[in-house]
Amino acid sequence: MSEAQSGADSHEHHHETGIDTAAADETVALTIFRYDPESDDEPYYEDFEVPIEDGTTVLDTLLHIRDHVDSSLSFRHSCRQGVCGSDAMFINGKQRLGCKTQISDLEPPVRIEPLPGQDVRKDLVVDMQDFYERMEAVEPEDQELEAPGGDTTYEDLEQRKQSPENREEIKLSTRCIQCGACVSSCTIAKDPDQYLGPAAINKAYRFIFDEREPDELNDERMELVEQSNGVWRCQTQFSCTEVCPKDIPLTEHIQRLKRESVKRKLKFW
Amino acid sequence: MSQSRPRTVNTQGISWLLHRLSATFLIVALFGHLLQQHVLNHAYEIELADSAIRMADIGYFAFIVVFLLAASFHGLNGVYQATIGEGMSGRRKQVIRWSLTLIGVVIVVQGMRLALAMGGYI
Amino acid sequence: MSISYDRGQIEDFGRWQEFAPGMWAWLLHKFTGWVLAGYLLIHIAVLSTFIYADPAAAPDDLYTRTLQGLESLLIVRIGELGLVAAAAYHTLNGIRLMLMDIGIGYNYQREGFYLSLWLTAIAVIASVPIALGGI
Repeated sequence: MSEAQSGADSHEHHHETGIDTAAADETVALTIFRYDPESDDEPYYEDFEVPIEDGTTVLDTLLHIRDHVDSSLSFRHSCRQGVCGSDAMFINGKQRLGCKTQISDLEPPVRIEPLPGQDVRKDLVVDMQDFYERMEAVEPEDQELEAPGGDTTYEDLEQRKQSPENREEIKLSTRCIQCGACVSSCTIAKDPDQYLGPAAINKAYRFIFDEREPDELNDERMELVEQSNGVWRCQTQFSCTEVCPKDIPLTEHIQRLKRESVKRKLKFW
Repeated sequence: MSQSRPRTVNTQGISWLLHRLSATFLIVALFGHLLQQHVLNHAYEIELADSAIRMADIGYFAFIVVFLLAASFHGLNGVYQATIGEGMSGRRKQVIRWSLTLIGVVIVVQGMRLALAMGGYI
Repeated sequence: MSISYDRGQIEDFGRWQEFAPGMWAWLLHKFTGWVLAGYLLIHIAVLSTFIYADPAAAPDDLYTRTLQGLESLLIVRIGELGLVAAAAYHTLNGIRLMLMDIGIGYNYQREGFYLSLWLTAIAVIASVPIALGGI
């Protein structure tokens, strides 16, 4: 998509979609969930035929539709490279990131739906407020975040060091991009009072096993995940681990927290 | 956005552990029980005296009692996890809680009565 | 607060063909769990005929007649095979779960489920001569 390339090419200049429509000689059939609360009583599915080439992702096809076919198609996206977590959708029966899913890996017709489990705002956009509440529910109440500013200088602050081994231990849990795929796939996580869900518990894990965190905060985090809507609700179904686009071993982290909880209890005896 | 943080007493860690411990015991006990009842003996030939003699042995009796308690706990706790443990509230939760408690009491009490009768202790 | 549409259940059971192995493992574990719990009740009930059996009437007492009578029915023998299947699967998948509880086997969780299924089948087949013996 660079200037130099467009000068040398005889192809059409690329649009924002990244699909070179002149070079593409293949198309893919898509069936997309549509719902506009302002005009529709019920959702429906709409069929599209979109040109594709090597490397076309689901997000590319959606952008193509929005730009050339139907500008009312609504969906969230941002980075296009799997780090923002905006475009988690239900594609061919599985929760995936639109930008990370290759059309060539999917069996046509490709069925694109919003994430199950959350209310649909419009088309492929779901209400994520519920998800964010779960993430907040594992935060300790009295976190004091020290930063330089005012009278506090860098010299006043204590440097908290982390060993490479500890970093390795929590590395995978830091990769969460809060896309919501895991919670959407869990049959137990129907609402936050019932089960906080893998993403929130993984967030707690990321701090509990980080050696830099003060014990008081981690004790509070442990208490939060030990509650009735916490780790004990996990039934080891593994759906979360299957769908996580960042390959975080969520089930394993939840199980480790269960063990940690029992270990702490036993210490009092 | 603040939300209510349910504060409950954490007995769940203990029941999680006991569920695993009872499971381990049951694997061995059940395998041994099936071997004894169907391979070393034949279930279709069992008579009253056979059961009575077996249970009169205090060691075997003790094993059966532990077996009964482990199986009852594991089964009840398992059913509890499969129902209430997946999140339930209100009337439905209360009904299931009481039903499970009742069934649990019946199993353990009747099981003990039966064991004692078989061993000739009552 | 905008109008939104409630799509209902998380995993629609109508999508069963798309279920991942972990989900099948969980469903079967729950199902076999209920079967075994139900059996515990029946087992204690049947054995309770001992309490009302008259030892002087042996071997025609209530206990012996009940047990041997049940064992002479083919449907009961087949039911016992079903019970072996339920117990075997529940035990084997249970072992898979317990290994993961102590941190072992996450990379092979799917294979662990398939192994449980295979071993259950073998256990049932191996039990056929015993289950149908003396019928």
